[in-house]
Amino acid sequence: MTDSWRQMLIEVASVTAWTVIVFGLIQTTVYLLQLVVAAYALSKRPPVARSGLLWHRYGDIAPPISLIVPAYNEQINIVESVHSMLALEYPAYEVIVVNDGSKDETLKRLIDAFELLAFRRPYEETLKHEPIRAIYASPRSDRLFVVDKSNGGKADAQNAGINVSRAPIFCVIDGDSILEPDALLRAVQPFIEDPERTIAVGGTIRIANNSTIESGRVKTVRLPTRILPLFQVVEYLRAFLMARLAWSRINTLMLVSGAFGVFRRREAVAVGGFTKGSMGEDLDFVIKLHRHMLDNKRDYRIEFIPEPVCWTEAPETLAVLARQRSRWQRGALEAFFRYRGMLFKPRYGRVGFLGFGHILIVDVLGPVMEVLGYVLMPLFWLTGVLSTEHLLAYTALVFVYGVFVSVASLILEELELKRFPRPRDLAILTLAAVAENFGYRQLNNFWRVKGYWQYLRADNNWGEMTRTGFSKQG
Amino acid sequence: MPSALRFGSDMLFYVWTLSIVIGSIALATMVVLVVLRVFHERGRARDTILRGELMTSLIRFSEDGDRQSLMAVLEEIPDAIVADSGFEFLSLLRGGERHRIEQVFAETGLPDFVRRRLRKGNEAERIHSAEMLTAFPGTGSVDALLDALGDRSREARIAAAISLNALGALPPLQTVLERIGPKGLRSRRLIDLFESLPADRGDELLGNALKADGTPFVRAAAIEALSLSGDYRFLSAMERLARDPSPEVAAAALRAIGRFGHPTASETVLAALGSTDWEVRKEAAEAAGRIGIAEAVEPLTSLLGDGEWAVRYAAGKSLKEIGTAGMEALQRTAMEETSRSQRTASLILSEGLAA
Repeated sequence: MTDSWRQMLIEVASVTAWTVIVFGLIQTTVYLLQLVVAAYALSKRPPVARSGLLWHRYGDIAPPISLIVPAYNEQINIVESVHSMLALEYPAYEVIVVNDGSKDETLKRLIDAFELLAFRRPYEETLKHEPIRAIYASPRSDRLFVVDKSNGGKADAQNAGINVSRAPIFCVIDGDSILEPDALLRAVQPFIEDPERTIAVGGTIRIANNSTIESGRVKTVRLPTRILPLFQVVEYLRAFLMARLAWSRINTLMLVSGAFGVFRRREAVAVGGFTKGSMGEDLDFVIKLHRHMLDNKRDYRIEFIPEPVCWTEAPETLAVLARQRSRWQRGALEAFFRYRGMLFKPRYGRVGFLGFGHILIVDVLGPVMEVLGYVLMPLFWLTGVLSTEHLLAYTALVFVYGVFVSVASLILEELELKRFPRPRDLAILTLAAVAENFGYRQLNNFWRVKGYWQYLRADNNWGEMTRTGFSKQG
Repeated sequence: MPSALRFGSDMLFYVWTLSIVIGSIALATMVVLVVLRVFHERGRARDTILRGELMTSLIRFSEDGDRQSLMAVLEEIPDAIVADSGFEFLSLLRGGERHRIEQVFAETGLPDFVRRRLRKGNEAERIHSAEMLTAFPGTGSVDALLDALGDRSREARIAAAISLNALGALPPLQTVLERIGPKGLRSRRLIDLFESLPADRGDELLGNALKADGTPFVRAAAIEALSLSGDYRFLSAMERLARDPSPEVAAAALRAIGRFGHPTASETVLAALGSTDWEVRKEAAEAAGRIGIAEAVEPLTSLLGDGEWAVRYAAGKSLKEIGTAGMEALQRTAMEETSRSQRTASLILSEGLAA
């Protein structure tokens, strides 16, 4: 290799290395800022009132809620989930399970378990969705309705649920999830305290793998024994506690999880409901809400509150987790490019600059830059074109700051919420928060790049989610 | 080495060093927190035992009424536990049984503790303390609650107002609303406060409802509370308010008229069926059904084709409620050629369990 070629290679490597490092610095700065804002938000948050008090306080004024539960091939968990939903502590609510053309026995199990009968319920056909075949009601509970419709995907099922619902507020929850008994009462608090401005509220999603579940309730909280769900516990802590709390504090929350979110029906209908066929229907929906409110110059709040908890089953195998993460990545890219007109547009204020800026850094550029770094940085160093300082800085950004952010989220959780029951759990989670940065995080980024590839190829396969079933756990 | 390169090299070194420092601090903090948690769990286990003892004593007292035994237990248990768990137990009771326990609580140092916590506790504790003070009537509690109307938390101010009302010591409503402040006046808890006002303070509510420059939310909440009083002397005011330029106020007034169910308001309801605001039309349609206004059959039948589903549904339901004439109109519309009105009518008629 001639000197000029070698010189050019060194320059290219140097520019690439600096690009990767500067990008890593930006990403780390975003995480650190999130952490600071989340800590501030938690410190300002009033301590939690017990659920008995909430009932006493809000029982008479809590607005009616429709709980919309899209279910596709959920035969394992659905009956248990519906039982838990019917036992929620909330004064006025209805449960609308939408069987989205399941191929398994989801509908049959519901009919058998709740003695469902065909029911004629007039509803508004405002949102488009696949045809409804029948609506069922249960003589055992006037709260329960089951909508049986042709398959159209999760967003389509949610839209059918919104059409059939009658309450001014609806809550979407996955068919494989379990709500804490007081979750609705807690989640509805912003709708009571600021009913005119609040249009959406998100709560915390927690992982139930290995916890004991009886009669549709989480009786004993335990950490997962398997490594993948354990890492996801730390991930969810970072995502739900730190990131969402921080973005909510500055009214720029871009995602209310589709696994558990409460929305005002009027605005949901005004934006045309959930976008059918979307891979990240929850992100897409919240962006639409922001756009609608900002376009109409209305004062509004989209809030995250950590207290209401929804339990879900996390993927336990690499294959299922890989599918889920690739799908999430496709969802993020899809939403970003669909609403790219909002990016850095002054009319969309914080949402355009901070919210979309965050998606750009973390979801659009983040995975590509990280994977590029994994491959190139060690290679450049081994071939002698990159200095050890560069490599150390890169290592710091990828591993050490990652450890810091994960452990700091755990510190926040322990200082403010103390939701993990035993000191031993904290110790295990601390180890997991360190370990997940060495291998798991890299694997995740690889799956996300795969999601990128699928997005570019317009691969819209949702992917099967294999469930173990709550009733077998613990 | 050129200065730019040195700066770059220094920066890279700082990135690494800083990461090691903050990473280590975070891990050390976590270790401390794990140790603290061990002690915290021990404290919590002790509190759980004390809570159990308190509950057992309260249940025993409900059965045998032995004040001395209960007092002896209460003296042993920290005020914070009695305040939290004792009042949770009280919330399950009503009437004489509750009153007897409240009297025993009042003889301990608990009222002072609660009043102190109302001043110095965190937000959740201050709100709860304001609620608890209704169990300890007297000037001490009233003064503490009056002070709490100036609390920095709006929810605590509203809770204090609700408790003052329960103790029969609420200052003039206008003063209270000013103390609660504009942000607090957006809360649905305001409805709680208004609804709990005694009947003889209805005129104050009416004053707020009629206040043309008041916020629609507060005016609507006042109307809602007045409607629950069932006092017909407010009916004419409601009729006036049903023509208010604010749709929120007009809709609330029509809902109130529907609750009163008095036929003299029929003209107002019939006029509101033609409102340009859909929420007003919907409330008017519901009121027509509740009152049973026979003259409303025709306009309600027209509303079966309204652009808003909520209006169509309310009109259909009301036609059902009006009786024979309404049912006939529904059946006639359901037999017509396919249209929005026809679909609504047939949906309303078929609602319920399928044959």
